[in-house]
Amino acid sequence: MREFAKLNPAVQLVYFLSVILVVMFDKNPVILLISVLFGLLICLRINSRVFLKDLPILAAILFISTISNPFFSQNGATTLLFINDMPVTLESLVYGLSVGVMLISVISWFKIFSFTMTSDKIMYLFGRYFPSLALTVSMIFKFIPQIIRQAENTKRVQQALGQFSAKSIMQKLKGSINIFSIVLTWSLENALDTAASMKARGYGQKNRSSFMLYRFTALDLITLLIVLILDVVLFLGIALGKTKFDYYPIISTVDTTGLALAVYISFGVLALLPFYLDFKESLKWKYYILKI
Amino acid sequence: MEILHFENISFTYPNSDSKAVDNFSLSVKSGEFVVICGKSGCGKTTLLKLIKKELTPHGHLNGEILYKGMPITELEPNVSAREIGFVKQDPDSQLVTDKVWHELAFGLENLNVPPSAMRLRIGEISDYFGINEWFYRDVNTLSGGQKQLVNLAAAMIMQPELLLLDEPTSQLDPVAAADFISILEKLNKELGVTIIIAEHRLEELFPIADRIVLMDSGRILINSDPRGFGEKVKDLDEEYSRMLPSAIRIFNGVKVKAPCPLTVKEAREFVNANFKNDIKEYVPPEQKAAGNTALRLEDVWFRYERDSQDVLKGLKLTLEYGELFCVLGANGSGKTTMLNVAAGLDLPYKGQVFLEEKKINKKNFESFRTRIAYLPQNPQLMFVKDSIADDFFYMLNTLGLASDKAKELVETVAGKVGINDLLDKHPYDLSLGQLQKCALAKLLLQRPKILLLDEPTMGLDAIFKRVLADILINIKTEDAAVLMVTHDIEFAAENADRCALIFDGGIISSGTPEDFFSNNYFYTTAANRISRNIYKGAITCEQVIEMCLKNGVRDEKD
Repeated sequence: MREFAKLNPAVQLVYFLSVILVVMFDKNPVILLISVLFGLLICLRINSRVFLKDLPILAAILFISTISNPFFSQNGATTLLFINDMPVTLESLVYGLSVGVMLISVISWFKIFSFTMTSDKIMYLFGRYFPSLALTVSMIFKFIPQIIRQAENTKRVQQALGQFSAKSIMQKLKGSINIFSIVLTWSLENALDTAASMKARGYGQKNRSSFMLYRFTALDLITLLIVLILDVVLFLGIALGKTKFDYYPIISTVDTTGLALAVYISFGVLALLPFYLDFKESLKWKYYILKI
Repeated sequence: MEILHFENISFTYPNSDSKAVDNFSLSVKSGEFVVICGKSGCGKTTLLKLIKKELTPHGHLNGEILYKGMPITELEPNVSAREIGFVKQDPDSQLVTDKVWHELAFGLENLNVPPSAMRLRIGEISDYFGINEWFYRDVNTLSGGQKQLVNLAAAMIMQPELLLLDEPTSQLDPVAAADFISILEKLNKELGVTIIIAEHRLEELFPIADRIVLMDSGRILINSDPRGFGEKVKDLDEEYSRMLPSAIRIFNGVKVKAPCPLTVKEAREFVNANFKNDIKEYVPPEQKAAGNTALRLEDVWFRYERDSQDVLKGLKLTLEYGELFCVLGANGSGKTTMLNVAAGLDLPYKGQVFLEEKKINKKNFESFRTRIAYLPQNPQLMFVKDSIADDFFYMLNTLGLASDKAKELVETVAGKVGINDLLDKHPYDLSLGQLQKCALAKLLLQRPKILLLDEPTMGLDAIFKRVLADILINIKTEDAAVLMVTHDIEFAAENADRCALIFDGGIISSGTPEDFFSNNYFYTTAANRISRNIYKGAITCEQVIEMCLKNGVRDEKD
């Protein structure tokens, strides 16, 4: 993901929009499998420890979604067994499974999105159209952690003063209200100071420019073009219903002809794109180092 | 060329009878480095704010301040923003945005500088200040010293001709503070920026300043070059001498006719040249016998999270009744963590904390709570109510004290610490020194046996430090013990009964201040660095002066 994250944020945004839109609205098993597989792989590459920590939760989501679906839906032609006169069908289990896979996939891709699209990049994308909004957002990002830290520190010190030792809930509540009100006062004082600092540095004059951290390079252009071409194939195929897939009343078969195949391949290439960029870059460097 | 001119400036805050700045006249030349010093509340901050139009407080101003011959009030907003930079005391509140790069860009964005020009200036400035490595970082993840450096860079990116600094190093540790001041020197010498700085910490500033202005109650007491300053300050109150660099304090103490030394090197030459120096060893007064053990940390290991690094590594420490114990150490050495563990705020995963030889654990901790009092680095955190008195009574109420008894207790403690006139004020309206006194009073209300203090002298002026020291010495003699962690080497040398150095999560050396500091080479007082090759064991200015006088002045013929 490292090389991909270096691209211009606009390219990254288009990329994520394409992938996540497809994942959220297409229930075709091939698309689902491709998205979940690459989604999880990229998560693993980003932070393997967090990935392993999350794995049980993801498995639980999959499991619960599969076994709970028959309770909500008794559709489907192939009845496997009855629980309290309620038919449990193969179709409903498979549908539950596919929803679970979809959820995991969406969660993974959103994680990748929030990891790559840092606040800097969001600011870059929207800052030039809404400069004052961008500044406000940036100030909030700085301010909120500060307030939380001040509240935590106050609480700790008040604890050391024995203000939370009493067993009575009323006392504890009173203590918390005190902390809340003093932190509020503190943040107002702090905001006044910040406002003075802004004024001292010339804020509030007619025209304001916006600093751009990123540039649009040839690589950005090429990548954007590739993503857009893949998008055309993908959305054309989907719009024409080539990837339509039914779970009820019987599970339909996967269409592997013509345009449908092109859609699968396009989506596979799209999901692989971050890997390819990383791989290409590391190969390039190995080659340069070999030349030494 | 004159860049700034004050002509009989007087300033009065609304609802105040006394003038904050009183008939102040001064002329500052372009490229000068001016230090403004004085007690807290002497009007230095107000004076600086008057120069920067956007920060000028409400109140009544008499007289005129001219910037390049033009009245400050008539400056165009963008000229003022561009040419006059301002860095304040609190590193946090003057930061505006969440990222370092954005903080640097902020001022340029306000001036509508086109992005391509901005890129160059930002690149240039981060190179000059060495902030490339944390260019993309969140400002909240930076240390205090780094934050203050970003604030300075953000002011310098406007390429100002005049830089105003209001106690910029008061919340930094000595290493970060010295770095900061050396950058100021660079800005002044290499770029010719005119600098006016209000500061308490003068040790490093005297050698690089062109002029020192001493203020009291809004008036100029002394306005002189650093060398002449040492001479003139002799005629004033003794307490002013305390805030001066050690070299000048020693010079003033011995009363010898010679040019005033400013640096450690010059002071050493001065002592060598002017005194006989036959008596070579300073004999400290008899140490009193050790008291009973108050608090003991035995082989304490601590880390914040299961898979994080150890912060304390088998730390051992004993605190005795009747002593003031100072623990020194760099940032990140585990000082504050040690205090948190001693206060029972954090429990060690291995090792034990003993209070009067009784083990402290999670269950019995509450019964010990009132015997240990803890002063955090930021005294503001101690207060949650709208007035100091309200806060005191609220705490005593929750601790279950009857209201008439509480009143009596507050009166005695307030009298002892000297805060009677502050009781009705809002904690946020007090100066740092006043707040520190109130925080100490709040601790004493719990009638603790053990006081744990985290950097209590940070940001205080020398006169306030003396007051604080007297209070602490008073407390410890009443069968209590004080353990403080500090960066303040001079304070520890003058007031501690024992000192220790913490490094890498363990105590690596400890002893009486005389033994402790004269064995250190870098981590020692300026007075000791001046006298280490002349007198053995002298660590404070008073001791060096005593040795000089004992030895007697060298005759011209010798």
